[in-house]
Amino acid sequence: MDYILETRQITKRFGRTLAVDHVDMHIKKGDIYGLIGKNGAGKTTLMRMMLSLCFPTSGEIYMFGERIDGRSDMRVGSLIEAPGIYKNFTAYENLKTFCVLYGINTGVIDPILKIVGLENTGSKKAGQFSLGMKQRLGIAISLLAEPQLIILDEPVNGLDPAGIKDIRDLIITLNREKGVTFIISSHLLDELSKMVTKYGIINNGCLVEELDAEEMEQRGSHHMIFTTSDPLRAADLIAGLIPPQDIAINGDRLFINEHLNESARFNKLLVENGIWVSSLELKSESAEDYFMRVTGGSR
Amino acid sequence: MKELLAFEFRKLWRSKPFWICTIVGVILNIVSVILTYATTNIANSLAGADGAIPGISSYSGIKFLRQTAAGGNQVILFAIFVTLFICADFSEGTIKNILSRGFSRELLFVSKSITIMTGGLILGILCMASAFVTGSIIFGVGDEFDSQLVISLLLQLLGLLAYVMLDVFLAVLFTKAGGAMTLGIILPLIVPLIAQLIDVALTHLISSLEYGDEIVVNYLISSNLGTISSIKCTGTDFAFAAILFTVYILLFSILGLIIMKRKEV
Repeated sequence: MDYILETRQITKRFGRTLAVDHVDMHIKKGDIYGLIGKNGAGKTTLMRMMLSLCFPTSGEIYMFGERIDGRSDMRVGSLIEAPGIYKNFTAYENLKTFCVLYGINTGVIDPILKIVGLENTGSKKAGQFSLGMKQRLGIAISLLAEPQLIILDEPVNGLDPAGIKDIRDLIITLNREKGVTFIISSHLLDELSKMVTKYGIINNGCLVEELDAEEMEQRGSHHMIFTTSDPLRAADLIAGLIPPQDIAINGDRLFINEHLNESARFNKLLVENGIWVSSLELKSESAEDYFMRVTGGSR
Repeated sequence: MKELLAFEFRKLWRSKPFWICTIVGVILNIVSVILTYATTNIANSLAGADGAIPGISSYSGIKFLRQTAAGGNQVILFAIFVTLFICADFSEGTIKNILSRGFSRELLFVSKSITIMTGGLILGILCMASAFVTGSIIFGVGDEFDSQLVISLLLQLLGLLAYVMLDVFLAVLFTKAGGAMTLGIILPLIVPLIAQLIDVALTHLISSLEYGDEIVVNYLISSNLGTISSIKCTGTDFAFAAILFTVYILLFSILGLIIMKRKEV
C-alpha cells in the first residue's frame, strides 16, 4: 500500500515525559484524516514531527514515499497551533512574502484571499485582525504553492459557525476536486465527522486505533429499549430470535443490544402475544461517545 | 537559498527596528560631533589663548570617521535590531511556515546571517558616513587620508560584524528577544571589565608580568576596535585584529549553526 504519509514506531520524549509513544500512522492519498485525542494526548507533537518542526526521539517518518530526516517537503502546507503571520504586514503582504519564499507567482494571492474570505481586508495590518481572521490567513498561507498534503491543527479555532462551514467546505472541495490529502486535528468531533474519511484516535501518546469513518459509526454500541407490561415474557419471546446475551431487563424496561433493524419485527411479536409496548427507543452511540469510551474520560 | 535570501531581505527592508536603529545611529553620531564642537569651544574660551586644551584644529571629518566604530553606540543598536529581527520569526511562529516547507535549518541560518550582516554593514557605514560628513562640515575634512585609513575602516566593519554574529548567536540561542537583547547589550559592557580583572589577577600570579600588561583584554573585539582606530596602529595590529575578528565571526557562526540545527519550534 502506498501512503502519502506514514510513521513507523515514531516516539517523542521530553525529558521524562513520553509525549508520543511508538505511533504507526498510515495516511493514504486522498484521505481526510481526523486525528482526535484529549488535550495533551500528543496530537500537536505528532504533527510537529511530521513537519520537521521537532525531531523524533526514535522512529521514522515517510512522506511521499521518502524518509524525511529533519527536513519536510514543499508539497506540504500546514497550520500548527497559532498561525505564523507577520503582524506588521497586511494579509496581501503576508502572502506575498511567503510567495517570495516558496518561489511562486504572486498571481495566486487574490484567489486565495477570496477563498478564505480575506479579500476585503485592504491595508489593515494582520496584527489588528480578529482571532478568526488570523486563522483564515494562516490557512491561506498553508494553501500557497498548491500543496498535496495539508496538515491542520485545530483549524477552526476562533472561527464563527459561518467560518467553520466555509473552512469545512474548502477542505472538502480541495479534497474532492484537487485530490489534496488532509490531516486535521480537532476537538470538535461532530465537525470532524462531517468531512473526515479516516480517524486516528490518540491517547496518552499512543495511537489507540485507526479506522474508517464508516467503521467509526459502526463501532459505537447500538441498542433499543422496550417499555412493556411484562418484560420477562417479552424477553423469553425475543430470546427465541436473537442470542440471549444481547437481552437485558431493568424494571419494566427490556434492553436489546444491536439488531436495530429488527425493531419493528420484535414490536409486532410482542403485540401479537398480548404484551403491551408503551414505548420503544432506539439508541446509537455517537462518534464522540465512542471516542470518550476508548480514551477513557472527559476531554 | 535564492528564495530564502529574497525572503529575508524583503523582511529586512520592511523591518522597522532596523530603520529605527539606523536612524538613531546616524543621529547619535551627528549629535556626538556637534557636542564635541560645543564642548571644545567652551573649553577653549575658558582656557584662553594659551590653554592646554585640544583646539578645534585637532578634530576633522576623517578623525571622526576613524573613531566611529570604536565608540560603542553601534553595539547597542545591533543588539536591538538583530535580536528583534531574528526572534520575530520564532515569536510570531512564522518559522514554522519556513521549516515545514522543506527549507533546511542550516540554509535558514546562513541566509539570516547574510541578511543581518548586510544590515549591520549598512548601519555601520551610515554611522561612519554621518560622523564623517558632520565632522567635515564643522571641523573640515582633514588630511589624514592614506591607505591605512581604508584598511582600518574595513577592519572596523569586520569587527562590527563580529558583534552582529554574537547577537545572531544569542538570538538563535534564546529565541526570545528580551533575553537575547539584554545579553547582547550587557555582554559587550561586562566582558571587558571581567577581562581587565583577570589581567590584574594574572599580573599578581605571574611574576614575569607587570602591572598594566594586557593579556585577556588583547583578545577582545572592543579593545582591538580601539587599537585599529588609532593613527599609531601598525601592520601587526591590523593583522592581529583581522584574524581575531574572523575567528569571532566563525566561532559565533558555528555555535549558532549548531544550535539552529537542533532547534525545535
